[in-house]
Amino acid sequence: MNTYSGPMLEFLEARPSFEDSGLPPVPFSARVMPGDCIIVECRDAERAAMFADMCSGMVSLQSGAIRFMGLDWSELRYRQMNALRGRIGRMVGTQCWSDRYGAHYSMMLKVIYHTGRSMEEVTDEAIRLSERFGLPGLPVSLPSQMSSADKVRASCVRAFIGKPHLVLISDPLAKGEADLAAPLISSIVEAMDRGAAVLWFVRNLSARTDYSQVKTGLWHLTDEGLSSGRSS
Amino acid sequence: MAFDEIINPAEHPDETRSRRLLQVGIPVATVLLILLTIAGIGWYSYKTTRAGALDLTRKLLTTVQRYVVQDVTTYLSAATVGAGFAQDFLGHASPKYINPAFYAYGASMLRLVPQLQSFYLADDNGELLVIERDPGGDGMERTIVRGEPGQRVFHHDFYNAAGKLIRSSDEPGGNYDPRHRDWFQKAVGSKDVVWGEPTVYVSNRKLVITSSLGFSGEDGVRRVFAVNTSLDQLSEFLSNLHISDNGEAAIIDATGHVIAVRGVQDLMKSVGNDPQKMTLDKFSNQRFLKIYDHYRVQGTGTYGFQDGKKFYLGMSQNLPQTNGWLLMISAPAGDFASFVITAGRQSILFSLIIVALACVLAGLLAAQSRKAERARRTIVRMNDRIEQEKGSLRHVVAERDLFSTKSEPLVLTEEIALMTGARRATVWRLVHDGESLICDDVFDSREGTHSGGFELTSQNCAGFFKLIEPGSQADVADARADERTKEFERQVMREHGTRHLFVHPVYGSEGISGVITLEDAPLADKVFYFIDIISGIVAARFANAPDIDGASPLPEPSAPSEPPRFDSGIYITEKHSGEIRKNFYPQVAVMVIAFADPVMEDPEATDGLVELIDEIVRAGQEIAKKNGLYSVKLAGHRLICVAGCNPDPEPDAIIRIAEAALGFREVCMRVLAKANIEPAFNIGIDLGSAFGGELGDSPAVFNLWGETVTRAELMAHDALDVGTIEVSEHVYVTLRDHYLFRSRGYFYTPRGGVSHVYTLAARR
Repeated sequence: MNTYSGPMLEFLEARPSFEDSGLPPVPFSARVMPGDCIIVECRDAERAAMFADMCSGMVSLQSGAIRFMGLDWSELRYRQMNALRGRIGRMVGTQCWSDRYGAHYSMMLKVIYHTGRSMEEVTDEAIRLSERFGLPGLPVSLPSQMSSADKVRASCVRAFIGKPHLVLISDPLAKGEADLAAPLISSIVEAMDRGAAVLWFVRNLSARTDYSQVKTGLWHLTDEGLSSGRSS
Repeated sequence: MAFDEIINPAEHPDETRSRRLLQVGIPVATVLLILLTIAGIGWYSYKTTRAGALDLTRKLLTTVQRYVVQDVTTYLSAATVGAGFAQDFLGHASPKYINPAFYAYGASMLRLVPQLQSFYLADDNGELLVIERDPGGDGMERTIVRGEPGQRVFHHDFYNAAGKLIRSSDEPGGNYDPRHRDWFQKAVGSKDVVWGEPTVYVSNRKLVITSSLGFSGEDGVRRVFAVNTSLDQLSEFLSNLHISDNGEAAIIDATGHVIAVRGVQDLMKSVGNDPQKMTLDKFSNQRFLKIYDHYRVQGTGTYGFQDGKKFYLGMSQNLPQTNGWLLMISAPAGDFASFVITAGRQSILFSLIIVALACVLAGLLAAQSRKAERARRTIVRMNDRIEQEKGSLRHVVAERDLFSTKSEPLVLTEEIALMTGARRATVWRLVHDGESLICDDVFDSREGTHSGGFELTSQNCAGFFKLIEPGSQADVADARADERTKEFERQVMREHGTRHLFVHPVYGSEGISGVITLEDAPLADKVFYFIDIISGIVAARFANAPDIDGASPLPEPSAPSEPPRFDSGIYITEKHSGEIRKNFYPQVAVMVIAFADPVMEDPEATDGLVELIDEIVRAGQEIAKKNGLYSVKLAGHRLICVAGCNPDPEPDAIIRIAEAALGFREVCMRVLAKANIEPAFNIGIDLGSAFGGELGDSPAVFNLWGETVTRAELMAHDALDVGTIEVSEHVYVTLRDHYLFRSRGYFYTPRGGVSHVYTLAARR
């Protein structure tokens, strides 16, 4: 359970650098509280990925600030930023897999690197999540040797392992992985229950109804910036 | 913040760094500065002192050298000045008085000057007079050589101390001729004193050196006057010369042969009494060799050199009135200025003591700073913990119906596990007059799961009940080793692998109403108040809870309208039907077909669905018969098919199952497509050992257990896509010649290790 009770993620008139990110250089002001699941509708997948980068403090700002768990990304040193990113789980689909090691390594790396948890404990959690997301075990093949569907499942495991405080999800259901809906919704609810916040990036909100089960807020990310939608 | 994070992002590294710099860096830097200053002063002092000591030593040595040269010159002057006096005295004497004058002069000199050994007087007619000390008495011995060459005779006259002749003797002299001797030939034409080589004196085997001087008498006969000076006496003189406590002197000739030095007798013995072999390299003392090396390179002067651990000063000086003789002196620098060096050493020692004291003080300062820092961190941690406790309590009080007995406030165990870092947190309620503990809720933080409801009684867990009876906290490091908790550990903890147990009582209005147990909770003793607050909330809940002891009894079950149904199999092969078989099967092929949950909102649709399933089941029965399966059983959403249930392996069982799998897939696809339903089913196949058999009676039900069944179910559940047939590596290896497969990759499971998973595509 998360004992942090302040805003999980805060955009304080944050104006991203267009040259660096391609995001509209308009001030972003928004707030995500613990237990929130915000659906972010964005037609452009690259823009959504860049916005997720901005949430993770990886985009330079022209003005304003972004705070995660009360800490301003721009005021943190390198080690602090890295440590803080260890509290974020991110699902990035089939990309961003290193073929240097087996998929299991990439899945568990964040927790192994940022925490002092034992290897056995981390492996247990990874296996449990793998089975939840429909893998017959913890995948140890090189990512390039895995099917896209299995990589999406492994990405889900990677996003939720280590009980992150903020989960950034690019939509796995949009790729037709319908059987992922149940474990994904279950994992999101579990994360919300323990006080984590979730940003779920979707391309077309009207395409599926799964989002409504967990949605506590709706944002539209467009060329004009971020706007709040009506929560159903 | 998570407890297991390695770096706390909220902690500013600059502050930490500057604090560390302040606490450790400054004391260390100060000590280093002191060290450097003291070392610098010490080094400068040492260098200055050393230079001064050397300068002083050099000056003292120069003075000493001057005295030594003077002493040695005086020592040798008996020969040189004496020879000059004899030359003048004898040269102007009447020829008939020359011999008496020589004897008189020689006798006087030998009596007065101990280092003189003998006097010679030879002329160019071949006559030789010798006067020397009587080796057998205290008088003199006079020797004269007479006769023609070839018939020479040495005539010896011995005189006592009063000058009275006491005896005479002759001995043959053969061809001895003084004119052929070096000392005669070199001096006969020279006006200066001529020095010969060191030689061993015949009568006493001592080292002597001959100095000779030529002159012409009034009769025109050329004569040579020669003096033998004892070098042993010179060596003894050098030995007794006080240069310094450890100073030494030596004299060598121009060709490097030793003339005089302390221990010359030993040196002579070592070279077989051959003066020509008495060079410095034969000498055990290497310091004179070093001085001689310096001399050969730099000429006469003063030199500094290291010998062993000591620093020496060496000097070389040519002796006047000699044939290029060299006086060498060596002395340790410390002999002359040891007080200065001692003072320097004491200074360094005092410096080291000061440095040590500075180090101790700096260490104390740093330790004190670190202690203060630790205290600061403890306060920060306590504040953090208080903040966390506040947050946790906010979560708890925000829980709806916290005190209602109808709700299940799972937040209590979750928060207490979070705050204490416990692996498992359990709330137990004491019931039946304290005879039983019922688990109200247990939260496993690693699994993230809740469970509860199980019961411990005082009969099967007596030690634990005794432990909680006094109502005090208990902290047991190893629950398995403690008599009070070993039963509790066996029943509750062992399955989860926990060892440490923390027990906190829950006090109600009438005493203990329950306990909270925390397993592997490292922070349990640090959040005592939080646990106490939670236990208070738990006590309030227990107070509101209905009394279990007084609970109304369960209603009597009504009589069943129909007898129970035991059938679950939809197909069993006739061959074994009716036989009671409880066997271990070494190679069973198991196929599990997992269907997705049907959505049952409309009753009419449900009727249609049952008909659809019935059609699938009928088709399945036909497929089972056709492929000779052993059993097909429906269990919930799963259809479990088995082939090869035989104590002897059936090699074709897996092929029959694979054929059946393809048949089932085709039927399911067809039937579901016809009904316009998405084909939400997956198939898993595994091959391996299993155990089971037909159980019960009327009807006997066949069932199978084992890893093979579990793996087949797992693969059906985790299949990649709808309608896919997923198989294990063992199945792939068995069937790869007959069917086409796609690899899904390698997966790790705790029980099976790393294994390869395949998807069966079609027949070859």
